Parts: sequence; C-alpha cells; structure tokens
Amino acid sequence: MALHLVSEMEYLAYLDGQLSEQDRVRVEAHLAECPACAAELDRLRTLQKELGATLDAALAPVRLSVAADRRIRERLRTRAEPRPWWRLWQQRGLLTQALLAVLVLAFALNTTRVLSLPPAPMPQETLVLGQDEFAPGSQAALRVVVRTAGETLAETEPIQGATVIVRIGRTPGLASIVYTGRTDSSGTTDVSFAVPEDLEGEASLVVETSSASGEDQIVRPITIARDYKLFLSSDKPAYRPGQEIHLRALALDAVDLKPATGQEVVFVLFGPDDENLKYHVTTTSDFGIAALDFDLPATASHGQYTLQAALGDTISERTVTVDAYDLPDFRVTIETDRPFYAPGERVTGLARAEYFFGEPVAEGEVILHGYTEDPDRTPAVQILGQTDAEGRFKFAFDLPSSFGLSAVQRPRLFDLEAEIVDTAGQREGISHLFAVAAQPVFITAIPESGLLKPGIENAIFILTSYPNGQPVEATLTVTVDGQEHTLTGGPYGLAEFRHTPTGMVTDLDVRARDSQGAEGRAAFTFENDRADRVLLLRAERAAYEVGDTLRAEALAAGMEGGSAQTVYLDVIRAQQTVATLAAPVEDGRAVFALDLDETMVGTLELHAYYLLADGGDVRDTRLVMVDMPRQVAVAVTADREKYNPGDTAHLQFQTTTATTDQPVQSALGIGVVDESVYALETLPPGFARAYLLMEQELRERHVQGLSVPALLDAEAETELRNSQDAAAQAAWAGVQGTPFTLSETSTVQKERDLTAQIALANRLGSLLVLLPLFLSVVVVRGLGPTGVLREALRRVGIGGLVLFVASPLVALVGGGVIWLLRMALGVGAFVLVLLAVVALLVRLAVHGWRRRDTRVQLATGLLAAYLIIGGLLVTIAARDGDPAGILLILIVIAFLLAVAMLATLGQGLVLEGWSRAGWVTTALAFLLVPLVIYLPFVPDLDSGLTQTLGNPTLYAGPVGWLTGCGVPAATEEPVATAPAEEVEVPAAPTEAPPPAESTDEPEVTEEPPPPTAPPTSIPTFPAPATPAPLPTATPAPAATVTPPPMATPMPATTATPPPSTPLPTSVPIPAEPFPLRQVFPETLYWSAESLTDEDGNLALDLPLADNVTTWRLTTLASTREGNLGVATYDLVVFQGFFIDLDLPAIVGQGEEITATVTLYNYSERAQTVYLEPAPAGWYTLLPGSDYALVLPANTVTTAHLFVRAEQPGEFDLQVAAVGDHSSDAVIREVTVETP
Amino acid sequence: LTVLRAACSACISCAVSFASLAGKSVKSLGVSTEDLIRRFQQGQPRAFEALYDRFKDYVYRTAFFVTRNSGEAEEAVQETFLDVLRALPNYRVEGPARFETWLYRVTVNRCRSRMRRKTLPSADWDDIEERLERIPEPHPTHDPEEIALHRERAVELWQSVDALPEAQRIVVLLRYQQGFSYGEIAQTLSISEGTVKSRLYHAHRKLKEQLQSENGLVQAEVGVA
Repeated sequence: MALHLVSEMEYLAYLDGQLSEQDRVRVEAHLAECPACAAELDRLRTLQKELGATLDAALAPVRLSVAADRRIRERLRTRAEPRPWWRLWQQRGLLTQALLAVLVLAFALNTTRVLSLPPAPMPQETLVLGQDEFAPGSQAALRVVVRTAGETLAETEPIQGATVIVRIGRTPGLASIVYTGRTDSSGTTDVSFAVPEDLEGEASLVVETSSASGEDQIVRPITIARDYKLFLSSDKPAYRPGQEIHLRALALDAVDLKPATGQEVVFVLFGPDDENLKYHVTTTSDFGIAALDFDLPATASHGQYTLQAALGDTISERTVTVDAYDLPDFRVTIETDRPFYAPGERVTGLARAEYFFGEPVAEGEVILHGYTEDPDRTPAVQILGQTDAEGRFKFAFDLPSSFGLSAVQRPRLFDLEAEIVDTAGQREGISHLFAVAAQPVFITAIPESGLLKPGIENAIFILTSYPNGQPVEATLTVTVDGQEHTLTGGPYGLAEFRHTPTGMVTDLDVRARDSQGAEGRAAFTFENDRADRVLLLRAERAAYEVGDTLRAEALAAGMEGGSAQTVYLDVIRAQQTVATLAAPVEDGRAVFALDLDETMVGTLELHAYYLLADGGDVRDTRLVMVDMPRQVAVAVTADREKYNPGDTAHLQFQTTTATTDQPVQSALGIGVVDESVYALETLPPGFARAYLLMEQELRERHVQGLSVPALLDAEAETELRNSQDAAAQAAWAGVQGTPFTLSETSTVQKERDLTAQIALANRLGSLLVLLPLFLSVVVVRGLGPTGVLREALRRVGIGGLVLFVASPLVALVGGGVIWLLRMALGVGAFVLVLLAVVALLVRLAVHGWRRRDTRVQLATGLLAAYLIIGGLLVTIAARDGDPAGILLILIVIAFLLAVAMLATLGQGLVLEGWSRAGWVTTALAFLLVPLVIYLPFVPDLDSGLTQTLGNPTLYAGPVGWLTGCGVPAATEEPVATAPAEEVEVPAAPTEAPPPAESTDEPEVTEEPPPPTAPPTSIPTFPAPATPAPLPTATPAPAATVTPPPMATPMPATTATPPPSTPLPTSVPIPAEPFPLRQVFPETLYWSAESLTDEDGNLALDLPLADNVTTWRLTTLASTREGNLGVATYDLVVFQGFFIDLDLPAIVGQGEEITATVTLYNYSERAQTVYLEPAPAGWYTLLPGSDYALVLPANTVTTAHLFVRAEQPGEFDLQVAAVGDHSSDAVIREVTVETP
Repeated sequence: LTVLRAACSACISCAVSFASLAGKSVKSLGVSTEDLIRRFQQGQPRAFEALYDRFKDYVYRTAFFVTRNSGEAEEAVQETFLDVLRALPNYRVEGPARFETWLYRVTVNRCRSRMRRKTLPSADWDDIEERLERIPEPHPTHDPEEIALHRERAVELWQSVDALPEAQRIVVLLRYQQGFSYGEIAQTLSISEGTVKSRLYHAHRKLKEQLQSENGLVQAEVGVA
C-alpha cells in the first residue's frame, strides 16, 4: 500500500495549476499508485467545477444598475474633466512654435541694439598710499589717487570728481565713514581724517572710490595703537652694592607729546647676567611720570645692570654700573694750547687738579705720559713735576715727528695721560686725546640726497674742519668736470655747492684754505643715481617751529607725461601720515608749502614722489624737525652760596614758559647727587627734549661738532642757527625714512586676488564639467531598464532639431521675452527665473522623495549642486576670476549636455507615466537657458563666463548663426548707466570749481574738526605721593617740600635731632664744640615728581649731608602739555677744616689695620691738631699712631692710626680732630668678621 | 539646400506629429488596458471612461459579493473609481503588478472600509438563491429529478460559500470566479501565497463538511421517510 505523502492542500494546488513542476510530477506519481487519493482528487475537482459554475451562475447576472452607473459616470466625469488650461496644454506644440517665433524676433531686435552699443570706457584704477599704523584720536591722512589704468604713465589720466570714501572699523562690514570727498583735477584729494578715539587694536581700512569709469574698493588691515615716548632716568650712573637705585620714567604720547597719564609702566631691572632682579608695575601720574626705588642688596654682584621701563611696546633702557668703586678725591684736567698738532710740533699745556669742594690740589706730584697709537703702549713722552698753589702744572714737549705724517683722511690721536698725587698721598688721573695730522684742514662732501641725481641741480654740502673736528671757515675751490668754482664757507665750516651731474659718476676735487693759510685737499667720487627717473626733494630748512611755513621743492627728471604730471608730498610723523599735498610739475619743479601746526611737532618725514603707470613710484625723502617754542624755563635759587655740612639749604624753584615768561605748573624731577659721581656722565642741556622729539637715528647724527639736539637751542645766534640748520640738513642727507606700509593699487590688489580666485574658479569649473557627465550617467542608467531611453532621446533630439531649425524664431521670441522681462523687471527678471528654477527643483525633489525614485533623487541632487557651484563660479568670475579658456569651453559644452540630459530625463519620466515630474524636469532644463542668458545682465555677475554662457549664439542654432541672431548681446550695461550718470557727477563741482593751485584742498569733504587746543586752565591735582611734604618751621611762600633723608639712618647711639630741624644729618655732640659728621650719601635727594604750584613756585628745604663736596642738582620739569625744561645747580658744602677717615669696610678679627685720616686745613692759620679716636671695646689702639700734628695754613696732610680688631660684629670708628681754633669729627662703619 | 530642406521637412513632420499626439481620440476597442492607462496619463480623459466601462461590472460584482448589499456595493464602486482616477496619473504601467490586481485591491479595501458599518444583506442578495433555484439546465436531456438535484446542490453550495468567513469567501471568489492566480490573490489582499493556500484549503474543508452534513441530513430524512 502506497503511503499518502501528498496533502490535500497540494491536491488543491495541483488542481489549480499552482504546483511547481517537480511537485506536480510527484503528485501525479502518487495518484497513479493510490486509487483512494485519485478518487479524492476527483471529488475535489468536481467540487471546484461546481463551485465555479455556481459562482458564475450566481454573480454573472449581477451588474451595476443603470442608475448607479449613470451616477458614478457623472461623478467621474466631473472629476476627470480637464481644467481650462488643459486645452491649451493640448495645443502646446503650436504654442511652443509661436513662442519660438516671438523669441526669434525679440533676439533679432536685441542683436541690433547690442551692435549699436558704444565701446566701454577705460577702467578706473585707485592707488592708496600711507601708513598702516594709526594712533587713536589723532589726525591722520592718506594719499588716494584715482586715475584711468594704462600701460604707460602717458596713458593714465587723473579722474576728476571721483567720489572717495574712507571707512575705518573693526571689520570691513562694521567700518564707519571717516572721510568723504571728491578728487580734484590731479585725481587726488586731501584725505585727512580723525582716527576713531575708541578704536584700538587690529582694524580694517576701507577705501572706496567711484567714478564713471568704475568703482574700486580697497580693504587693508591696519593697526590702531597708541605709541609712547619714554624717557628713563636714574639718579646716578654708578652704584655700590647696598645702595638704592632711583628710577624715573617720563611717558609722553608719541603723537601729541602730551603726558601719558594713567598708563601702566613696567620697570624691570636686569642683572649683569641678564637675570631679572626686579619687576614692578606702576601707573603714571597726571604728568606722565612713574617712579621706582630699588634697593640693591649688599651682596649684589658687580657689573653692568640694565634698567628698563616699558609702556606698551615702547621700551626705554638705561645701563648703570654696580661696583665697589671709590669716589675720586679730586678732579684732574688737562688743557693743551691747541686742539690739534702737526707731526713733530711742540705741545704746551696745563694740567690742573681741584678738589670737589672747590679747593686746588697744591703741591701735588704730577706724572705725565704721552702715548702714540702704538699697541705696545710704550710712552713716547714722560714728564714729572709738581702743581703750584693753584693746583696747576705747565708742561711742554715735542711730538714724535713721524706720528700723524700719513694722516690724510683721518687724523691720528695722541693720548696724554696725567696722574696727580696730592700731599695726602691721594692719587687721581685723566686721559686727554688730541689730534695729530699732517693736513690741517679736513674736507667732507655730502650730497643732499645721499646720491647725486642726474639731470637736476643737486646741492652738495662741503664741510671743512680741523683735525679735531672743529669747523674751519675756509675759502673753497671746487673742481668738477674740469671747471673750477670758488666758494666761501661760513664760520662753521659749511658751504653748499650746487651742481647738475651727468653720466654715471661725478668726480669732485675740493681745496680749502683758512685765513691762516692752513690748507687741505680732498677728492670725492660720487656714484650718480642710475635710475631713469629721478626726483629730488629739497626742504628750505631742517628745523622749524610751530607757526612756520615749511617750503619745499621737488625737482623731477625723466618724468613721463610732462606737464600733466603731479608730484605728491606726504608728511609722515610718528609712523603716521599727517598731511598730503600735491603740486603740478612746472619746468621740472613742483613747489610745496605747508603751515606747521601743533600736530606736527617732532620729526617729520617728507616723502615726495610721483606715480608710475604700474602703481610704483619715484621718490625722495627728507627729514625736518618741528619744535614748539614752548619749553619750560626752570630757575633754581638758593639762600646761600656755600653751606656747612649739616646745614639746610633753602631752595626755590620757579617754572615759567620760556617764550612768554608766564608761570606754569610743572612736575619736577629733582636729583641732588655728589658731583664726583654725577660728573661721570653728562648729558647736554635739552637732551630730554631732543630725546622725546627726535627719532634715535637723527639724534645720533653729528656733523661739524654741531650736535643735532643743539638745534633746539632757540636762543642761538642767527648765524649759528643757520649753520646748525645746514649741518642738520647735511647730517640727515640720505635718510631713507619710513616706507609706505600701506601701499595698495586696486589693479594690483585685483591681480593678487585674481590668482587665488582663478585657481578656485578652475577647480569649481572642473566640477561644473564633471557634474553634467554624472547626470548623463544617471539618466542613461535610470531610463535604460524601463525601455524609454531611446524614445526620450528621440523626443529631445527632435525637439532640439526643431529649435535649431526654428532658431530665428526661437531667438526672436525668446530673446524678446527675455529682453522685455529684463526691461520690465530689471534684475528681477533674473530673480524670477531663478525662483522658478528653484521651485521646479523643489517639486522634483519632492517627487523623488515621495516615489523613492533614485534617479530623480540623484538628478535633483546633482542639479542642485550644479546650480550652487555654478553660482559660486559666476560670483568669482564676476570678480575677474574667470576660469581658464579651455575650461570655459568645456563648461559651456557641459552646460548644454546638462540641459539635454535633464530634458531627456523629463521625457523619460513622461513616457514612464510620471507625467507631471517629467514635464517639471523638462521645464527645468529649458529654464536653465534664460537663467544663464540673464546672468551677464546682472551688474554684479557680469564676467567672461556669464558672457559666454549667456551668449545667445549658443542657443541660436545653425539657422540663427546664418541669420545673424547669434551676436553677443551682453554688454548692454554701460548704455543704461554710464553716459547718463556721467553728466551728473561733474555737475556738483561746477558750482564751486576748485582753484587750480589748491590741489590739496578737497572740493567736497566732511572734514572732522581739528584737534582741540590744549586746555589753558590747569585742573587741580592731588599732591605728589613722594616725597611727602612735611611742615617746616617757617611758612614758605610757595609749596614747600622737605625731603626725607636719603642716607643711612643714624645710629641709635646718637642724639635725637631737635624737632624744629627736620631730620638733620649732622648731630652736635654735647661734649664737643663741633659737630660729628657721620652721614656721607652719594645721592642727597631724589624726587621723581614734585609739583610746583599754579604760580610755578616750589620751595625745598634740603638738609645737607655731612659730605664736604659740591652737590649737583638736576631737575627735569614737565607740564601737563608735555613741555619740558631742565636746569642744573651746584650746591657747595665746605668748611675750613675737616678730616676724612679711610679704613677698610671689612676686617678680620685680630687683624691689624691702618686707618688713614686726611686732614684738610684751609684756614688762614696754622694749628695743632690732636687726633682722638673714641674708645670702643671692639678694637685696641696700637702704638705708633699719630696723635698730634701741626697743620700749616692751606695744607692737606695725612695721619695714620694703627688698630687691631678684637671683637666680631658691626662697629663704628669715631675719630675727632681737635684743633686750636677749629675741629672736626667723623664716624665710619666697619665690620669685623670672625677669621 | 536640399539636405537642409529634407531635414526641415522631416523635423517639421516629426514636430507636428509630436505636437498632435494629444489630439487623438481614445478607441477602447482593441486597446489594451495598459494602453488605455497610458493614454489617460498622456492627457486623454476618455481613456479613463473606457477603463470604467471595462471594469465597472467586475468591480461591482466583487463589491456586491463582499458587502452582500447592492447599495453599499454601488458606493464602493464609485469610491473605487474615484480612487483610481486620483491615483492613475502616477500609476506605473510598466510595473510588475497587473492593473486588475491593483483595481481589485482598491475595491476590496473600499468594501472593507464600508463594511465597518454593519449593514444587512440587501434583497437582491437573497435573490441570488432564487436565481440558482431557477438555474437553466445546461443539458436539457437530463431528467427533471436530476435537474432538481443539480439546482439543489447549487443552492447548497452557494449557501455554503455564503457561510464561509469573509477572508475565505473573498479568496474563493477571486480564485474561482475571477480566475486569479495565487500570487495575484496574495497581491490583491496583501497577504502571502501560503495564506492564500491555507485559506483555500480551509474553505474547501468547510464546504465539504457543509455539503456532507446537508447530504447526510437529506439521506437521513429519506431513510426516515
């Protein structure tokens, strides 16, 4: 019996023919074997047959009733009834053709219009020159030139009436307008503006110019920062370990030279190994003064210490020496009868020695050694002698006959060293150098511009001096080009020779002869400036004062364009352009005049230049200095001529303005320092002012012994001042000056930007070529499987062919519609088409998303990317970043491919049944054409790319080409704007035409108000912090300051000073009839800032220390306006008899030492003096010491005390010298160390 | 010029034929369903009318069979064709499914949504039974008893079908009245082919059981008699 391996479900499927072949065979095999199953299958088959027949019989007659059918049909008809536009759509073919005809007509009309356009005007070019650093709140200027671009200078034309707008802001977008004006006939305008006060740091400068020839925008980063001048001073040039360094910094604003108030000044002290020993930040006062006192530790290492003050980026440094030096006991000087000698000539002179308290070193032993420049330092001269009662020693010797014989260009220096030992055995020396030369007159020649400029008259300064540098008034014979010229130099050895050089070099032979017959001769070879075009700027003077008029002339040679050219003169001060002038060149000469106001105080750089076609320039630079006659005069008076140690000097300061003699309130920096220390470094009067007014480079230039700071001496005689002026011109000749840190030409900027833009445009262009290729792949692969690709391509091909054949009509209609839309909507037409494209793209994207149609999704994405990248490329191309030529062609071909592929996709979708999406895609394809045609009509998008893409030729087809419809029609823009607006631009200046000469006066400007004058009333200000004014016994008529003691505090053992005398330094010993002297500071008094009252008065009660010396008082006055003044005053402290005690500062326990007592007896009588060392437990007096001496009148002698240190510790050694009629006592400190 | 003229004439003729595509009238006879759909999608509204005429009775029968109510069925037909009208523009002719499959699916879904409201079978549903009792004999030579038995069995079979659950009833209709394959039934009802087989199997079992019990009852009545 067969197994029933077939289920009933399978029999059903078998009967329904739904079994697979394999199952069917298996089932039939089983049925053949199993009669039961075969019977069952027959029953099922019967049932199915009956079931089908029954259902047919039951349902076949069932039909929709007529009524229902009518109702439903009616309902469906209303729904399916096409809209009114549907009929139009059915006639789309006809409509399309009609539209094409209109387009062709419009294109043809458009072509005629385009052909009648005038050529575009020459493009505009803008040049901006100036500095890129500005000070907030200051008055600044820029050079802006607007001209037509040209290959040569002759081709460029200045554009008059161009609008110039200058904006400054944190970013270009936030920049606010600081200047508005129009260019004059030379194409420039005096762009003068106030830098925003509240803007500091990195900012942007935007210069926008516009004229009928175009627009330019130049954006440059600038820095707006305050700049300062710092003058750092210390009380002394040298210190001993343990002493206090007093520092004072005067900070002025670099622009207006007003005190920099409330600014943080950082003081840093660097040790000899550059280690940072002290860092301190302090704030400047109302007078711009910051001060710091620093105690040097007793263990401070010896060497050069650097003191530094920093305010912002401005740093001022000063180097001092720290050493355990001994102050000189007296001053030695040497004078020779002449400042220079000939070889072998006899030298006579005088060596002089004088104590610092004013007395001569009498009967001192003199040793003189003379050295040539021999490196072995073998003395060529040796003289011994003795000073007379006046401290003088006369000497005479013959110089070696061979020394200085060959000195022609540079004199040789003979070193005469003098050493003098006084009667007390104290030894001091000095070195004196003098010149030795065979030629008595030296000659120097300096071209005014550093280089001789051919073709124009140059000034050559000829300086004559003796070998020691002293100017010599001489008659000059100058031979140049075989011709002799005779000149007479002034009393200061300065002569100006005018010469117009030719060729490559200029040979100059100069002979000089003074009134005594001394002669000199020198030959010079100057290399002439090789440039084809030269410009020479000559200022009338080198030094000016506020209120003067600076007159300068620029001589130009080799200039193109002749009289049409302009020479510009920019005035730069503190790295910032402060004025711009322009003058036409007449007969090769341009003349300038500039009134100097307060804003121009300081060193001015005059940059004269003219511009070349490529934006470069030919320039020359001169420096002048502008001072303001507003110095402060400081008068110092004392109540006595001489003081005794311990006295109080009553000093009176008065500050007045130097010119008007009006009192002015000032801050005084006062230092009173032992002359023996201070004399180590001397600064010329007015140094501080020169330091702050002049750039370092100029300060360091000297000519003919006339230091440039001396130019500030307004009281000099006219002749001297003229000589100083000429010297300064010679000294500053050839100074290069500050280059233009802000130099931009719109065309250059465009070229620079262009390189990057073109690179980017090429990359984007490559993408624009690739994207249509991707789109083609998507379309072909997407439409292929459904079999509609061929039909879609056929439709597009036929459509394209129709368009080509009917191109005249298409061009006429299409171009006409485009033109009409553009005329009606302007740029709006482009926007309209763009919006339509975007809308269709969105519609297509929705379709692709809803239908999960990958092809449409891809095509939408690619098209969106194509549009975005295309937009970017068009934007870049509009900024002249056109892609490369071959790429341009590929982009155009790819664009046409994209249109064709989109249309193919659209028709493919239509054929597949996606009718709406298909037509949307097709419409999108066709809308791309008007979109690109509109591109060049948008002013900001006009470029080679858009001109090419928008060229109707591309879309006109062969018939269109034949009928001339493919004429480029993109350059319509100038017709619409240029001529009409050009008429209006010059209209404004005609109402008030600018005078021809006043090229530096803008026609239309919104000049910011000039900087306000400094306030005349001085506000009340607080009392100075240091030193604190202490009440004095007698009320002072003016502000009275009593300083604190600067020296070591008194030992506790000494008596308390009487309360009426504020902190005296000499203490009367009750048992003795004479004071005990114990305080010997080097700096007696230091005040960083003491204020005079409103009447300019300050009273200072200055307790004098115990030194017998001359105190040098120096004071630097500065006002709130930044005016400066200095004064020095010598305070002589002296007594008829005094002693000095000299002993080692540190001794070992048990060590035997010698304390040297120097006795000075300047009384008119001899006296017997008894030395009385004060008993103390720490030492034992040894036998052999001098206790009694007889001192003749006016003698200096020494005595010796032999002592042994017994106990370790810090002790005082007090020695009194008690004489018959005068006595003295001193205390010295000594430290006894355990061995 | 000759070439240009030839090209122009060819292009113009092509363009004219392209442009005049829309003007052709729809002739339903001899036109495939797919062609009708395409024509409708290309903008010929009368193509839809032809589709309606072609399928309206089929759709009505199906709806009537499912709803058992002629009024409901008519509403379902209207809604079905409105749905089709709305969706047909986006219908993909080249897609894998037959139009009929999609049409009956829309119909069944519409009927099911209408059947959420309970309605009684209409009178014409009951008329079907009467109609089966008068069903003409295909072979007039048979004797009257045999004819009576045949009519009686048809009625029994209809009653058995009517008694089937709705899910099995629709499967039976689509298979044995509309002639759908298992796959088409599965697509129409959005179920798997296995489910189709299962439902048919269970329908047959129930029909057999129903018929056997009724035959037994008849035989018992005869025996008693």
